[in-house]
Amino acid sequence: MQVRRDPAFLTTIVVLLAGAVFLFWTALQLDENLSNFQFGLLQIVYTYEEALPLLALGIALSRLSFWASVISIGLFAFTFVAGQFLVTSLVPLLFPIDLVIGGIALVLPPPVNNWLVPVCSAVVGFIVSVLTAYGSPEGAGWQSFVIGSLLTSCWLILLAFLIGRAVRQTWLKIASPILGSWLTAAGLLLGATFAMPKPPPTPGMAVHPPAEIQQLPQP
Amino acid sequence: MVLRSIVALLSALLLIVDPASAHTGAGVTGGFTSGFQHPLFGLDHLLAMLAVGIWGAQMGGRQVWVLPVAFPLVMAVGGVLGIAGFHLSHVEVGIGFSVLALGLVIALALRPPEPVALLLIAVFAICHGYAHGVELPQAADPASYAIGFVVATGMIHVVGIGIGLTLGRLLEGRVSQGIGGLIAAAGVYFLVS
Repeated sequence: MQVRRDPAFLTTIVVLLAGAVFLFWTALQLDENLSNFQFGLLQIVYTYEEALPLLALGIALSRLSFWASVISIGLFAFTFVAGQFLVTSLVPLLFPIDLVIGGIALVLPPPVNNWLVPVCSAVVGFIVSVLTAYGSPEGAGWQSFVIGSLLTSCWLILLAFLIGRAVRQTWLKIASPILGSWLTAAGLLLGATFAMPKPPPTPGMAVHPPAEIQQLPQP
Repeated sequence: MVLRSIVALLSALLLIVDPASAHTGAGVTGGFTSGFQHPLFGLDHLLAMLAVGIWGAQMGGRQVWVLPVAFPLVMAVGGVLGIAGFHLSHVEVGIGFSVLALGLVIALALRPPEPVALLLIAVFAICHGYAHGVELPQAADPASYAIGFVVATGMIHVVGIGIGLTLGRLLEGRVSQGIGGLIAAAGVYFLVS
């Protein structure tokens, strides 16, 4: 893959390394008492269903015009904050929807993506926010957790955005829909597993011994 | 004429062979690692995915990415059918047949119209997706399992595209055709074993 060696590429490397080093340092302290802020930072990168759509969104944003990118990021932040006030019982279904929306954002071709990716951005922001609120600790300190999650989310988007800007658009034209189809497919399968009832467990060994054994003479 | 002969030959094979047995639906399925490993260690799935990428690259133009994009999407539909408990018969035959057919179209360097190629891919994707979908609800962590096998499937496509765009162009495309022939031979093995 050909990559432009310009300031965007160097910035990508710096953001990637700085964020990765910080998250790695935070993860190393798992055995110790982590603050809610640190838990918030880590919970996004440890949850595939949240991290992947955020990365997808970043790549999709890198293909938009400047103002469409700004509006998308603004909508993401707005819906993230708004979502904190709505934690629904439909939380499990939000994971697959999040993946499908992230995938659609990548598959959308130009110039439609300039109009629809901001909408996808808003939906992903809202869903990630609801999921963050759902996983946040109760009582004091939940705000730190949420801020940590928001920072990690923005870092993932920024990272993918800068990578997308650094990579040649002709390559992205091929890679973007391929990645999008992966996310959409994973989301559909995930949605089906959540929506369908779990099969009954496979019958194991008999709890009671067979009748022949029960009839054996006792020593 | 060539296409008709191939269809006739494949139809005849379909009638005489036993089902392949790579997807038995048995075994313990876990999380992401298990899902990721499944396509990589299932040779029938691996070769079919690889063939989709190579065929796309061989056809060139839009097909380089249209086929690998269509496959996982339709595969997900097949997966949903499997999860929902729909009964599809001869899925294992379909999987073996997909390896054979995709190998043959590469070996013969066929370039059908896009709708025909997509239809062929879609039928095979349903079979592959269904086989995984049946296993999915039994996974310890279905979410991670689904993501794992979709990502692995996509990566195999990308490797296939890479092979098609690099090695495949050597000797005026004969290397691609040779690889297609080997894949087709493996397909025959899956069908008769």
